[in-house]
Amino acid sequence: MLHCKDVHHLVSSGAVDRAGLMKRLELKFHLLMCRHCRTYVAQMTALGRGMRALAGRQRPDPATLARLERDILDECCGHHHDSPGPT
Amino acid sequence: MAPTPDAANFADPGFIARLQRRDEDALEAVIHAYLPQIYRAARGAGLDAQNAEDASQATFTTFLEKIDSFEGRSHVRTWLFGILYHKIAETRRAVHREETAEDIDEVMEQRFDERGMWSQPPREADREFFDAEIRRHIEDCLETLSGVQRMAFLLREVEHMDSAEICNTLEVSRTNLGVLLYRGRNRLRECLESRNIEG
Repeated sequence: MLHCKDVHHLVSSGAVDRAGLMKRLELKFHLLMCRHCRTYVAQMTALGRGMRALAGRQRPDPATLARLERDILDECCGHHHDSPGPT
Repeated sequence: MAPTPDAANFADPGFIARLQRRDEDALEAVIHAYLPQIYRAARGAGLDAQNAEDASQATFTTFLEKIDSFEGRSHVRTWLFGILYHKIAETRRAVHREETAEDIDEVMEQRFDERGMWSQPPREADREFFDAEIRRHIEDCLETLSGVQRMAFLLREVEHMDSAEICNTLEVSRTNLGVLLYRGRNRLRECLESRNIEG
């Protein structure tokens, strides 16, 4: 039988992704019964959501990306971005 | 103009050979496909905009310098993120001290009683409140993670890599990855909860 301590470990380590069917069912059952673990699991999900939201806020603008892309090409192969691409 | 390969056939030996010949179209395709992700990961790892630009550029430069030794065993993306990870580790070592003492295991241990039930349960908060708290504090709280914990967390949550790819990128075992994610997520959660209590 799963205890809260097992649940927090399974979920935060990602081991739950590889858990077998029985373990997943046990986990589901535990969460039905246990409010604290439901809170914990919801917070773990929220952390991922928060990280993706941060990544969205830090996204560079297209102009910056285009400039960086040109810089990298210039540096590696003396690429001239006004040249006709195909070789 | 040669057709631009999509990410799906970047693993194709013919494509790798084109990269090794410094075929500009091939190169441009890789940069175009992965630069946004590489930059995003650099920012997520804690670099400011300027440092993230530098690290992204350095990542592709190293990628090209080493392309001859690339055997295509790992995916181009895995390889690029691996290079980025090393660049960031270098940068971080210069600015941050990497903690060695792992206090989070102790902290979590104390949250449970001897029967394995919560003795200090997580503080309840509704979803909107918790999301708002995360938004306010996530950048500060990410600083409490070590570099490798933070990278493991963001590769999983932002880049949606599976465990095998993260393990290859960071050169850690499956068990080790579980420990990194466990410590990273719990540190982050603890930090947010303490901010929330302090107001």
